[in-house]
Amino acid sequence: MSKTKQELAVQSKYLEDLKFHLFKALDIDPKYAEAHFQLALIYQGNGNKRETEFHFKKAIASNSKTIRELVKGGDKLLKNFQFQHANNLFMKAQRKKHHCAKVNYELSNFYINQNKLDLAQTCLENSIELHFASAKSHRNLGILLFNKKKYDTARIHIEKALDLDYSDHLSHLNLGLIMKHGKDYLNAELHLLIAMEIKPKFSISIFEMALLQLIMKNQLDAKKYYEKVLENATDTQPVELDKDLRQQPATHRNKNKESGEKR
Amino acid sequence: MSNVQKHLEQAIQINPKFADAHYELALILKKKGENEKSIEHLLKAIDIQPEFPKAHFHLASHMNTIKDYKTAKKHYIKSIELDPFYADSHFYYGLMLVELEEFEDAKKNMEKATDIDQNYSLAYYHLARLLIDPEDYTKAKKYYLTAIDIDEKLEEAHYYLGKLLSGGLQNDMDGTLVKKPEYDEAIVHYKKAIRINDNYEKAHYNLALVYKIQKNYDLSRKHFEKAIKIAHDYSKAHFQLAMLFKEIGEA
Repeated sequence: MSKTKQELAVQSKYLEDLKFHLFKALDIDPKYAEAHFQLALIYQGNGNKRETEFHFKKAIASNSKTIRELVKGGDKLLKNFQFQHANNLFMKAQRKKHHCAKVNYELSNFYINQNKLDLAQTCLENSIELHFASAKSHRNLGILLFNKKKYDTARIHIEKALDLDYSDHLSHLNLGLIMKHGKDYLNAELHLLIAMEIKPKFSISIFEMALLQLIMKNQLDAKKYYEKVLENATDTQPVELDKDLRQQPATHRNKNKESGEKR
Repeated sequence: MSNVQKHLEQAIQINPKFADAHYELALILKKKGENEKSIEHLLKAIDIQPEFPKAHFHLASHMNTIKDYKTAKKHYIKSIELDPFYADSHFYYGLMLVELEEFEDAKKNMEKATDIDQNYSLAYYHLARLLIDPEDYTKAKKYYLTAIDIDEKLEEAHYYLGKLLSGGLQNDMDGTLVKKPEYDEAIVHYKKAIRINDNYEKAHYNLALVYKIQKNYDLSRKHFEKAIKIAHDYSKAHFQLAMLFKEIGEA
């Protein structure tokens, strides 16, 4: 249901207040990482690329500095056998690292949008270094590496993503694609099936399954899946933040499509 | 010059080796802010009577103030050695150890102070603040409550108890780290802290955070704004108020 004018006016007022207080927070503390991050997200929503990148980078720089200080403080306490307080500082540093990993992940999405894939890769690598259990970072890095034809490393990252979050359909989809590339069709089929089970109306998984069935010479199944894709043709809604990455394996899909059609 | 001071000075003139007179005079001078003179008299008192625990304690306190921690430590320890049941020595030594980031020893001294004087509200409060391990959650809560029970006007104890309860980080029975926030109880203590001191910006800020979690947006906004009104340069309050607007806008 569309929003009334009054509702839109109220929402716009909230956005104004939100920005006002974020700027105020940064006026007081120019190194406030969380405030930079939130501003970056707002600018990203408005399509202001320059400010988006600026605030993401500021958030990363501030976080990194705080992390260094916290770790240094923790080390000092540890040397003096103040274990609990040292642990407290290390835990704070850990929380900061996770936040910094999140910023790097978002910045990588921003770079992917602009096709700056090397920068995106660096951000994802940083994100993983800061928070090794970030499933989305592993998955997206895997997809980027897959596009760069670094299949072995790509596979390691996507498998790691699945270790961390087995319910992520995009990881299954991309692992399926990697396996298909390695001619491991049975496992490819298994992962595409799981991807479809998790997100039944996600056309790309179904389409890839159709292509795989052609390769596996299961024309009837392929037809069934193609028909399903057509049924879902209206289902073109992007999926969360990963809409850009979903388009990344496109080159592979095109190639596959061609090879499928030849068959 | 007060009569007491005059008479003490006369007593010292008559008997320069009168340790108690030097000590009492030092306390008067300390109260008047004449610290150098106070230190001189404490040193004399100790010189005359080396086993004078209170003189050592006050000298340590002076040294602590001027950040001569090494000397302060020596005299606090001496004072404790001479009179192990002098709660103040343990308490203030504990506070100095916190400054020096020697938290474990600070904790032991605070515990000792509470053992000696079971009505030492500040010692309970500071001891609770030192118990940051999730394993000590229940103990910390108990000590804050004891401090408040002894002195219910202890606004800081209400505030930090509120923080402990709203954080809720503790170890379960089997030692697993769990988060079990006690928001309603936390609200009670933040409100008590505010009732004691309406300009306690941190209490308003943390109360607002709890209301935000409970999706009580009006009260949350009210307290964030109050915190900002009290402290214009409260960056965290501005940030969290911004996040509140984001949440309301998305709701």
